[in-house]
Amino acid sequence: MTYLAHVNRCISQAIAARPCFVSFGQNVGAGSHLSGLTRNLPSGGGHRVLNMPNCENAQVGFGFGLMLQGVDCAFFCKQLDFLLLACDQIVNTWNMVRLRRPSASFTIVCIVVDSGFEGPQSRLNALADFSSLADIAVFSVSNGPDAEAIIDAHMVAPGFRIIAVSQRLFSSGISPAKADFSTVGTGTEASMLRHETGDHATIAAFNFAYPQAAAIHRQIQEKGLTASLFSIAGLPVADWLPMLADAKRTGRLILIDDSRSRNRAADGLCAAIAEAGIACRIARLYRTIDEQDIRPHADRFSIDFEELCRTIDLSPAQNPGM
Amino acid sequence: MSAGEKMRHATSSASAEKLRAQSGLTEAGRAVLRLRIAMLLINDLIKKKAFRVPIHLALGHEAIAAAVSAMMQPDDRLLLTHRNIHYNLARTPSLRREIDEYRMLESGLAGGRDGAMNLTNPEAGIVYTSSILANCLPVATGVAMGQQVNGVEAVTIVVTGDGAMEEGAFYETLMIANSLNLPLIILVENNEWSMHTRIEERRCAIDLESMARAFGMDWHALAGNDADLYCEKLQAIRRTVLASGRPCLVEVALSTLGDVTVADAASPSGRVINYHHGAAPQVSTEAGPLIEASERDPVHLVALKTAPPDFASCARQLHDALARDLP
Repeated sequence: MTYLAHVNRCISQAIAARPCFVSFGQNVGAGSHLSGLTRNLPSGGGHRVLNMPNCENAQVGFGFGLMLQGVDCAFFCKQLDFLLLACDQIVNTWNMVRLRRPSASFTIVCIVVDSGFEGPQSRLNALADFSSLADIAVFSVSNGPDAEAIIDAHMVAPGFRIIAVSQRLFSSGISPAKADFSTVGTGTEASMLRHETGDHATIAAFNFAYPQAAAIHRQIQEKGLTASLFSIAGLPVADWLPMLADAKRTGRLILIDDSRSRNRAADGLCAAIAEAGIACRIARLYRTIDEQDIRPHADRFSIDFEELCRTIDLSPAQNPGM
Repeated sequence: MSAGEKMRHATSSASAEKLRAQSGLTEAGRAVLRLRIAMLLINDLIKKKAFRVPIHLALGHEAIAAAVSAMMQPDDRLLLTHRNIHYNLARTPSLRREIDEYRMLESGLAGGRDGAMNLTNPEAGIVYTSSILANCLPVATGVAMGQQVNGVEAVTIVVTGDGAMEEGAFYETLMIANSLNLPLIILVENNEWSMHTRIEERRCAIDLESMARAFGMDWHALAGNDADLYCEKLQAIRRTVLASGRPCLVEVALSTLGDVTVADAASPSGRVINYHHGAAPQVSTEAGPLIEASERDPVHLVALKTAPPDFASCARQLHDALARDLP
């Protein structure tokens, strides 16, 4: 099963579990169904699927209005950058509605057009930017187990959040959850997810960088070493303690963040490490941000693994126990 | 001639002579008078710097607020703007709770959490109010849809203004409301001002009747500040919206009273501006409830329709009762 089909199935199951739900957005029930993201959403009975006109700001307001009337709903948005047109509703309306402690659910599910070939529209890919606007709960779905955990916990839950999927990953395969897979830390469920536990490094993947993080994890294993692997799927992070504890134990922290933004969530973990006075070698693997990002381009986010190993002294010689 | 002026000429209410034929204060007239006196008392408090939150008075807007409140049934929903004082006062019997809200006290209408520009009162149907221009419009479409989903036979009313309708959200809201056939009354209070500029100073004229026609929706004009007439018309509009399940646009011509004349380099002899928020500096309770002896003032219409002793007596009683509610 592909990543996209898996996400579609998780969403459909979450909606079907509710007696009443309104799914809406442009082309949600027609054509390609947003490349398949909204194909076969539950409809009929208490479930409605509404094809809407092109008006993102009003659609987000529409969702908050439904929420105020106690109706669970989701706005499916074809591109994250379209939400820029809806910032007034996302920020100002949510700030007012959240004070009323709404019992209904409103979720924006959007596609991050991050393959690069869309040019300027690919430039915006950082969920942290949206989260910081109004302390909004955002979730980046970057692998199969995360998709299941995030959508199960948040697709239909009291409150408002943005759940984003990566276009770059649409046709990729998904792997089953490992034995260690679990939510860690306090605060929002399915926000910080442990995929692996190891002794020689702690890898933290931000935004949609999980595939690169998993690749690094495999390369470390190939060296005969082990690493912990975390997906920081939800923001804002209430509690970095599990990450701090793991980094302290392994002595090495690899932060990998694919955001095309100066507002990187990975920097928050870095600051927490410094504040806690934890001595560990840190590697920050971030995207280069330049003018090339606003022209059509192939994805340029690649990691030089040998350089990474040198940066944090990661080799069997430095770890004689292995 | 502006759209508002055109409307006033076209649909102005009956002549003063005809109005004088009546005597006792009607329910709508009493509501108008109560709103006016309550806002005058609040104006006095603003002058004394009793509040830290910015308050947008709606002197001159009383007739439409009284009529909307009278029209509303228990399940109806109302969404408002930063200038919401008239609707909130019309929907609550307690002036004190409104004032306490402005003082950010727990005893306030919203527990002191909303302040003035975002004040809601869900128990009275006011489910959402936004200080952001045109922000409440899209939310109203969702509220109307939510009522439909929940099987509630009711209308949703959203209030906006001639400034907010310049925003794209207005157009988007008309489109969604008509596309989804929502029982939504979009009420445009046209006072011709957006902060300190009049329509002709900031934009081209917009013919809302034509705009409504473009969306295939009904348009209704209210002008003349006759609260009794507004009540009748709004109740008929509500019935039509419910029966058809279609939205409609209601444009209300009104004047925000308490304008001030300010001289500046561009206008050395002085220029009339709308005070927008804060105190209406040249208006006070001592001068009585009437601000202008013209059709611009809803209280003038009430006075014309009421025998003078009845009007004076009711005004005095209302003032005394409301004054007792002051902190």
